[in-house]
Amino acid sequence: MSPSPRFAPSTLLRIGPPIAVLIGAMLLLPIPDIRGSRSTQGLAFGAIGPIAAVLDLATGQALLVAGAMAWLLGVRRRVGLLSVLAGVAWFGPDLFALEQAEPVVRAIGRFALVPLLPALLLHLAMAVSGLDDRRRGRILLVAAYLGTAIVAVGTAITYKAFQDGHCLDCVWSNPLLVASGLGSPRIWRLAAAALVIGMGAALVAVGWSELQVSRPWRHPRGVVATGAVGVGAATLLRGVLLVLAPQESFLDPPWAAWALILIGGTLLLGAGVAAVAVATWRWTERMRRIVDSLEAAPRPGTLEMALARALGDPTLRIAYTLDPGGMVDATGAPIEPKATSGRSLTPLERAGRRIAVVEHGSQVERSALAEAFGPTLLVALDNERLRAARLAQLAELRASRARIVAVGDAERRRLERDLHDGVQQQLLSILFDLRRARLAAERGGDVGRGPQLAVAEGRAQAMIDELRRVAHGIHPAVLSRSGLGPALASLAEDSPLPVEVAADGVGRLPEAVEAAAYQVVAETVGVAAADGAEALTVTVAVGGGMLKVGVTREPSAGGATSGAEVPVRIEDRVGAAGGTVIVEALPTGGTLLRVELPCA
Amino acid sequence: MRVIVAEDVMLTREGIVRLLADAGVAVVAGVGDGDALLAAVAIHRPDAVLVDIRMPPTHTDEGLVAAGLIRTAFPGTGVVVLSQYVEPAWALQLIEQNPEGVAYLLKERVMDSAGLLDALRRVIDGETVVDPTIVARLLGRKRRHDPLATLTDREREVLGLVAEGLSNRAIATRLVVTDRTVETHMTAIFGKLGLEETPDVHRRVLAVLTLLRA
Repeated sequence: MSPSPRFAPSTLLRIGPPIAVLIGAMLLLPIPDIRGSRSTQGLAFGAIGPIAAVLDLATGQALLVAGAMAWLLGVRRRVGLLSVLAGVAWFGPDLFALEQAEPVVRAIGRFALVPLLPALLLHLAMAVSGLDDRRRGRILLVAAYLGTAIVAVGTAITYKAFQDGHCLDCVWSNPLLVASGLGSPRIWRLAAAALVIGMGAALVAVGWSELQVSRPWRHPRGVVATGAVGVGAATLLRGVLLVLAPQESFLDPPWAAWALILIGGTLLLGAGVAAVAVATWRWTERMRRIVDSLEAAPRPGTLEMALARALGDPTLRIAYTLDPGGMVDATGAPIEPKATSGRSLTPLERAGRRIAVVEHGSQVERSALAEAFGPTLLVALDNERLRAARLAQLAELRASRARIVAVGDAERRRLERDLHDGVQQQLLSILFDLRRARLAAERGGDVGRGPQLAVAEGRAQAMIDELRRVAHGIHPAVLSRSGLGPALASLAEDSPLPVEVAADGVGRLPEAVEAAAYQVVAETVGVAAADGAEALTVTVAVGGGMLKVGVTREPSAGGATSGAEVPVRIEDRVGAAGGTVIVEALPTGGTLLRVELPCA
Repeated sequence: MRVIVAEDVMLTREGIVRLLADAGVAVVAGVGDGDALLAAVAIHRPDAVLVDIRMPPTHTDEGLVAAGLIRTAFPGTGVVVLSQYVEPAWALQLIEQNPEGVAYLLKERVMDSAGLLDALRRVIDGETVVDPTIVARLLGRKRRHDPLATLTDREREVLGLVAEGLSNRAIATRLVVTDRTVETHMTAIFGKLGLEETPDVHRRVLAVLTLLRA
């Protein structure tokens, strides 16, 4: 296998530029905010220090860039969108902090984006692992968004900055304030705390459960899960702080800790999404290369080999489902895929029916494998399944034909044995009796009966000779006892035309192969004798697991050779033994019958 | 002459025993399989054994196997293998493995008392005998590249009689010629088959093997 480039150059050309443009745009986006307001202090966490400010900026950008990558590199659509939205939400507090901005913009930053961040991160983490499509996941998300919306609206319409003794910065008028009498800000603050705690718990739970499946060192999804746990822990801490230390000041160690944990977790989550995007893309590329490498009619097993190579798992096996039940490999041979320790089974479906099961090492991600089979690859897989089914049918048919012939052969052997051991012995004993009777008659001087008995003796002997001939024709005993070479030599001795046999070095072979080869030669000799052929040369050799038989028929004196056709009986016999037969016309005018029989 | 008969079919065995007794041969034991034959030979030390080629347990070539064992363990005992098969391959196998003191005869040959007695005597003398039917078949083969092609028809006939186990004198009688003529033929045959340099008895066996292999 020649080393292939990890990424096809054409793919890089295709998607490289848009990625670069998008990443550039995402990186530039928040910079005017920083420059325009209060240098690094413009970032919410900038209050902690310049390093925190840089990390703050990097985290938001990481979410934006990861979202762009996920969207471009073919991860599920909503992952990219959610990551970008989370990135926007991340900069919510900064919008709020922009003093020259419109009050409405600041209010959106304050009331919509800040509380939305945990919900979006929760959704993002769930989307990466596919939990958002499950029923319980959906319920959780609806609850999270609904709760966030209620708290956001509730806070927005009741919040009065001057009433908020905990926010020293908040000297602005809330343009959304409509009902100063509707619940006290304190109640909404407690509601927000409860919501945040719930959200934090959900994040930790989601991250933790995903970590049980994919460890961070195995798959980038583990990195996302780790980030989710971090974000969840930070969110839980914030919920607690909202109640216990409501004065939000990043100079306070607990709040600073919250900020740093949140930054770390979110950064990890963003990096994980980016890594998932790259992994997905690499995977898609591998699968695309498999599809590209498939010819119109690939040889059986090509798909399995390509997949094993793409996944770096040489032990990978594909088992195809047969309609009558059972599983076969690409060549139609029955196999039974098993999930053992270190081995996993991944079923693959097309149009709602299972077409194959992939048995692979556990290091290969099961869900990734199932997702990676795009429509084209599934069609190729289904095609190979149909062919495997045909091949299995063919193999069964061949086996059945071979069995029928084997039964016939066994029957012939039995018949031959019966004739020799039964009828011939009886005839021999009759011959003995006749001989003794004749000798007794001759000794007794019975001149009349002696010759009579001699005639009977002659008839009995003729019968024995005829019986031997018939039994030999049914099945030559020498074939079973001594093998093909002696049997062919014996055939040549009986033949009415000269037959040269060269069968040196051919030892014993499987019974069915010897029987097939013998019958092919016997049939050919019979046909040639009937046609008036001059002579035959028979060569027999074993090589490469094949028994090769050649029967050369020299041109008749009359010049009329029979056509280069294989007699049907020979064709059937060779076919039943799984072999091939052809007739070649020789330049001398003769013909050469070539038979190859598998004998390994 | 003391003989053991090994034949698993009781009817045939008794027939053979009766025929041999009629011919004045002392049958010291009659057995039904190879193991019993070897045991009986060890006890009775007969001059010769008559053994069926197929016996229990496998009914394949037990007779040939037993012949080899007996010839190795008891060189003083000649072996006549009785066969249902007109199969030169087996005659060749028998003589190749045991160049002395064996005969390959068709079953019905036991009824020819004179022939059978002659064969028994010959194997006891250490010579080899091939059934005339098989010799006839060997000489009647049609072939294009015959190793025996250099032999004249008469020489082929003589070689056939050698294979049947006939002595030079018996051949002379059979062909109604003088002993000297037969000797001349034999010298010619050995010369043409490239067997001049070997001792006489061995030379005859080699000539027979040449015929069987041809």
